[in-house]
Amino acid sequence: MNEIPEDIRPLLKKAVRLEWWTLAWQSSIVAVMAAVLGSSAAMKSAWIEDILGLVPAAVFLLSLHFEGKRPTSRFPFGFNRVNSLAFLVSATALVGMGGYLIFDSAIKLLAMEHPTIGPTQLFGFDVWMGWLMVAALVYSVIPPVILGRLKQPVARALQDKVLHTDALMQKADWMTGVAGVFGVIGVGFGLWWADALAALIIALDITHDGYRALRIATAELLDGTPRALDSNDIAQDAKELHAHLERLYPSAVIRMRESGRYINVVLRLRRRPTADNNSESFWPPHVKRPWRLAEVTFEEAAP
Amino acid sequence: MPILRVAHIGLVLGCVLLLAACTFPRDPRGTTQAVINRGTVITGLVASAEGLSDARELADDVAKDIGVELEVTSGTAEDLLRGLERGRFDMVIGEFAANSPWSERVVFVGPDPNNVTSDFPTLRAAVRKGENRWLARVEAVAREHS
Repeated sequence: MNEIPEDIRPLLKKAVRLEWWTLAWQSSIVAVMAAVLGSSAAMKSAWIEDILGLVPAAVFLLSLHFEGKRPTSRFPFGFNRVNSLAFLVSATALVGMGGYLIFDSAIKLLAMEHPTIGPTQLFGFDVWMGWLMVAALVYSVIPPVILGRLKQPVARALQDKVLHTDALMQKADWMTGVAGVFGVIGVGFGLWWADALAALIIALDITHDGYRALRIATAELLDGTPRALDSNDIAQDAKELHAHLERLYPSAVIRMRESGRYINVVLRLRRRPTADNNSESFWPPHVKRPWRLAEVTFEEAAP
Repeated sequence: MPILRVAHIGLVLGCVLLLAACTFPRDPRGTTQAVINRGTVITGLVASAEGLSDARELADDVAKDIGVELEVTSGTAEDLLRGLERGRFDMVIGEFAANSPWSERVVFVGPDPNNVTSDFPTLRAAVRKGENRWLARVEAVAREHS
């Protein structure tokens, strides 16, 4: 498999556009948040989550660049799995950073550290920095939520796990914003613990995102049976493909694995079929997205 | 009607925030209120800054701004800052560098940190961490003072 199927090219273009938009908006959010960061732990957690939010979009664009590349003598099976590798790296980063932030905010809670959010001058007026933080947090929520919603149907149609995870993370970004606002407003009310508690909630969310992505990436890199986009269950089309192949080759041992968005099948038979098979006939006719099946390989079982 | 309910909750939250905005931010340990109730601002003056007329003036200005008396104790920076951390003082005035190791434990208020060399001791007021209302009050006075 070294060419992107014709059917999905327009959708991929849309996905690329959405990811470039994500990079642009997310960068502006990171800049705005950095300007008002102060010493709030909740702001720091939300800011780091926003920085990490750049990773899936960058990974998607990078892996797509490789997906179209032809196999080489050094990489004869092509580059479809760059996607999975990059996904594993970003998932590990998420878990690592989430873990650090959990530790950091828990220490702040235990040490009963009182966050200092002082005043600043804006157009000649004294303004409590917390209000600017709240404004930045509200701004940080709006673009991701819209982009996340736009990406979800595209990710589903493309069966793209990086895009899907990215969409889910962004869709859930409002929770980070609300937690952050709660933390800063809490400090305004004189509740010193609100900030670290909000930071802890955000950190747990980051770790959860990372853990989910890590499970999906691990399944793919260990040649697991194709998983559904949003869970660790076997993908529905993979189940139907299995049933279809079982009907075609009742005595075969069927093994399926996923490589990026594509499914590869190995059929072990007593005797290799003689009839010429085109890959279309392997895919169950009533199931959408026949491009998912990239390769069917026959193996002869030892007598 | 869920939309109406959301609108109601939003309205109530908005009003609460608006009311809160007038008193924002508050001090978790209530330093500002304690100073007003007591009628004195308990100030530590670092011995090395005792001779500086500016140091005394800054302390006076803070007391005047709130409309309370000034009570001054002098001592070493180390002793006074430790006392500030434990709540024995409302503020400590002295010459501190912006990047003093103490900035991890107390908040320094004073001349714009961009205008001075960070490791150059400059007249600053130190307040307890997290006392955000009190910090805003002292900072406003210090800004006018400089």
